[in-house]
Formats: sequence, C-alpha cells, structure tokens
Amino acid sequence: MPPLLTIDRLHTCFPFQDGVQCAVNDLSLSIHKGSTVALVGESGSGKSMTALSIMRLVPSPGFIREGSIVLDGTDLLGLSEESMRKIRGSRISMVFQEPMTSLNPVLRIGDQIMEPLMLHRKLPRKDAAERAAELLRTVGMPAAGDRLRDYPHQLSGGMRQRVVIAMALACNPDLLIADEPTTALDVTIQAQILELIDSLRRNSDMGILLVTHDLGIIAERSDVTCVMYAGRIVESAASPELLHNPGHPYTKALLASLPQNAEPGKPLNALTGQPPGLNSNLTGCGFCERCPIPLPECRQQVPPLTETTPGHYVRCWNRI
Amino acid sequence: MKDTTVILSAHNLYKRFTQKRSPTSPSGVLTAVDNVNLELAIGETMGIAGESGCGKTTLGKLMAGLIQPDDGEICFSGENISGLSPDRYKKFRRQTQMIFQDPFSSLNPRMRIGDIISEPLLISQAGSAANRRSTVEALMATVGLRPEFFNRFPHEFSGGQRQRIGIARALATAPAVIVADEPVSALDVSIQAQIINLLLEMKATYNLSLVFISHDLSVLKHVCDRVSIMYLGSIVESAPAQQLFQRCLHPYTEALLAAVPRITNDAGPRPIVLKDDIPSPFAIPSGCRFHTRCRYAREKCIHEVPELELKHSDHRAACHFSEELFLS
Repeated sequence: MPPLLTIDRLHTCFPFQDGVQCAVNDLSLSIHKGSTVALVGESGSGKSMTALSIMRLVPSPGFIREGSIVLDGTDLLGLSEESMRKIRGSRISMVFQEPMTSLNPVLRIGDQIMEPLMLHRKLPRKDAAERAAELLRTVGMPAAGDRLRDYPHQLSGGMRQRVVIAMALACNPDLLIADEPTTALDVTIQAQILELIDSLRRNSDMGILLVTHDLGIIAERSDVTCVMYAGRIVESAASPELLHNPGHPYTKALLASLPQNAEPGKPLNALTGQPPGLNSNLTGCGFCERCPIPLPECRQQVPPLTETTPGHYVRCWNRI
Repeated sequence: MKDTTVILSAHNLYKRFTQKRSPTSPSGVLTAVDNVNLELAIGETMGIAGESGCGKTTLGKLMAGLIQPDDGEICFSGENISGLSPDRYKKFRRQTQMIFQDPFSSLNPRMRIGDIISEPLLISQAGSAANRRSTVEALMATVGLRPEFFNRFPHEFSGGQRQRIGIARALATAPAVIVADEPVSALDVSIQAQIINLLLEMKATYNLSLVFISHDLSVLKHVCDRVSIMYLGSIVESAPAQQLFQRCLHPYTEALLAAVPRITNDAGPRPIVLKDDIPSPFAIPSGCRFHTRCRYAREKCIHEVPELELKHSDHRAACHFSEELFLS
C-alpha cells in the first residue's frame, strides 16, 4: 500500500542578507496509515518547520524552495491556497505545543470545536454542537456537554490540550501532526494525553507525525523515528532499533547524556558546544563541530543518508 | 552522610494566598505551602518534585527568603530568620541565592552581563569596582563564559548560556545554599546535561547545599541525595533518593514514576495509574488530599488526614496504608 504522506527532498528556506539558508534541508520521509512517525531534535533543528511545511503554513519570509509533499496522490505544494484551506483541519490537522496560545481566548470552546465541522463538513449548528460534545467525551473531558460554553481560561492546561485535540479530530483527519503536544504539561497529564492520541490512532487508522524532543516518548509511542540536526535528517530507523542501536554520533551522544543512563551523582556525558545557528553557512556535516569522531571530509561535504542495515539510515562519513 | 549538620530548615511552614472575587472566580484562600517541615544538611542536595501548582516554587522562594511565610519558621544555621536584625538579615540573604527556571525572563534585557552578575556584589557592598570586575570575570570563567562577554546583553545568548549567567549571578555572593527552581526544564536535551554537570561541579567546588526543584524525576534521581514529593502544598513522601526510586511508599509517588516515559521500556507504556487533573488548591479534598485520584483509596482515606510519619529508616510517607501496599 502506498504511504499516506510522502515528503520528498523538501527544502524550506529563509532569506538572509548573504543568501538563502535552509531550515529544512533535503528532507524525505513517509508516513503510513495507522502508524506514528516521530521527529526528534533540539530547538532550531527544523522539526517544527517541517510540520509547518506540510500544512503550508511556513511563516514569512520563509518559503518552500523545492521538493514535494504528497498526501494520498495529491501534491500539496501544487494546490491553490483555496484548495489547501480545504485540506487544513479536514484531512490534515495539527496540535500545537502551547494549549494556552493555540485557543482563541474570547471564543467559547464549543464554538472553536464546531468551526471546522461547520466549515468543512457543512454541518448545521445544532448537529455540530452535538458532535462537539461527543468529541469532548472522546478526549476524556468530564461533564463534556456542559463544558461547550466554557472559555479557554476556565480550563487547566491538560483540559485545554484535550480541547485542541478535539478540534484537530473534529473532521476525522487522515493525518495528525502533533508538534510537541505535551511539552507544556505535567508528566501525569502527558501520559494521559499521549495515551489518548495513541488510542485514537488505533481506532481510526490515522497517521501521526509526532514532533518531540523527549527520547522516552519516542520509545513508547512511535513506530519510526527520524532524528534531525541542523535542518537535516541525520538518522532514521524503526524506533526500537534506533534507540538500541544508534548509528549517528549525535543520536549516540543524546542517549549517553540522559540522566537515566548515568550513575547517580557522577557527571553526565554532556555534548559540548551548541547546535549551529541557521545562518552559519555550513559546508559540511552540521554536527562536525561537536562530533567526537570527525573525519577530514566532514567539514567539506555533507554526508549522504546511507542505509547501514535494512531500514536503518545514517548520515555520517564514519558509516560509509 | 558525611556531615549531618543542618544548614537550612523549615518548621511547620505555611504560605497562603488570598484571591479576590472576580467575575470569573469567587474569593478564596489558597494554601500553597501547608505545614511543611524540611531539613537541608550542609553539602546535601534536596530534591523537591510534584505537578505544577503543588507549591514547589513557593516553597523554594520561602527557603531562599524571597517571600515571608504566614506561619512557621525558617532557620538558617539554627537561627530563625524572621527574628534577625536588619543587619543579620542582610547577611542571611547573601548566604542563600536562587536560580530561576526561565533563563529568558530572569535576566534584565537592558543590563549587560557583567552588571547582572556583579549586582549582588554591589548590593552587598563587597569590594571596589575594580575588585568586583575581576571577581565577575573569574566567575564567568568558572561557569564557562568567556570574559569578553562582560559587556554583552542577554539577548545575544542562547538558553544554556543564559542559565550559566544565572548560575554565575547566584554564585557571586559566595552563598552556602542555592535554591535552583527547575534550572534545566527550559533547555534542550544536549544542553541540559551541560548545566547539570556545571551545577554538580559548582556544588563540589564551593561545598554548596542545594535545593533542586524539578518535575523531572530522572534528573532528581541523578543529582539528589534526598527527594521530597509534594502534592497540593504538602510533602507526601520524603526519602533518600536511591531508596525512593527503588521502592516508594506513597501511591502518588508511584503514579509520578509510572508516568515518566522510559527509553529502556520494551514492554511499551505502562497503564496510566493517575486519572484527572490535580484538584483545585482552593478546595483541598478532605482526609488524605490525594484520595480523589488514588487507586487504593479506602473509606479511612476520605475522613482521616494521614501524618507524614517515619515508615522505616529515614523514609517518611503520608499514607494510611503504605505498609500494606506493594508499590512499584
């Protein structure tokens, strides 16, 4: 079966005084129905920009320079703005990181959940309200029917995130993009929200792109993981394989720096330095400044993403 | 433990906030810190964990002397700080410093880095201007900032570097105690480890005692000697870190531990043991404050408040049934 979503050689760029820099550089990935693909990386690595590119919501002056994003046979990048608007919130929807800022504070949550139903599905107001209450029940909101008239500020962070998820699910999307859906929440609430998203995937066969920086979350909730660094995918593999058998020095270093992999009280194996900025004119591998095993060619040329074992791709000169 | 001399302690500490009536909420009293007892030994790292709104930041601010308790007392080296003369109080303030969570809002954007770090010295009137400059440059070097950054502004730095500036500022007065309120929560994974290492290093170099507030239990497990778990303003469990993570005695601690996603978890996610949100702090449940979310709750829990009592050596828990439960 062809994948639900295929991204091929996506370049999302920003103009600078001395030329154009790519926030997302030559990124390819695919998501199948009913599966979860995780995108991991630090802030500035391009993971949110990838998510926004799929929605065609790259903030100005950024633009998609080349590549294709194919959803079920349609190239999203070739669509008119009007046709794209029909896809957003209907076939692809997005859950943002901040449940505080992604809801409109002056609209009742019921109206916000009903909006996509009335716009995309042309439901009359009364039916939309019924469906909204049903959605709130699905996402585990207590006393769902009475909450429709609440405003966002009357809800806690976890409940607001449930509302955002209810909105995203309103039109039964084929693809859900969850951009750090639990970063702003407590661990106990995080566990509830992740379980909720996961159970909805199991029941509806929806594909999920899960953007996160938490390696524990990818271990428990994703099928395939892509690790991003400085705008590129540096490693991708089935999640258990990637975590048990990391191939890229960056992935290895990230795993090694976690407190749970260290002896209590001893110094952690911290990575030195920090990721390169967007405007740093990289000629070679973006990680070479922090890499423990750099080769001479690392500074000159970007290594290709190479299949080291079946299904496991690594972008590193040491692995070629 | 090598040295059990207590440097900072809290006795029956209370902090309440009153909320005025507004169109959206009735008036009420919120007890952010509810009868908390704590002892921090010299050279010890004490972790405080809990969900947002459980009062851990308020407790941290009380311990650092930034806000005053409504009831109870805080003792520094055995002296009650609320009874100190203004002069002695100033000395105490120099001895406890705080590191804040958000490295973006905790530095004045209009001040130069050098001025930010030397401000505590200026306030405590330590040394001449030239002296202060060399102290600040030495501090910057210790926390891994180049002395050339002296005249730069906070916006020129990344989150990790800003947190280094915050740490240098906290170290400026050569304190005995540092309260670190979620010092790594806002940082990227690869930077987190750098800052944790720096804190551990500074603690060893200056023989600091640390209060480390965090919601990340894996970080606490790594850095702390003791961990106290807070729920709705109260400490529900307190034990040496290794003991707590090996076998906890409070169902809330169990739930917190179970909720942390784990890399080494091949069996997939564990079933969720904690449902719903934390109850409103304006209406704390009767009896055991955790009973509304506890999967082991019985009749007794609804009516009787469990005391935080010694269950076995150095391990305290506030649960009626902790002896009978086998918590993971």
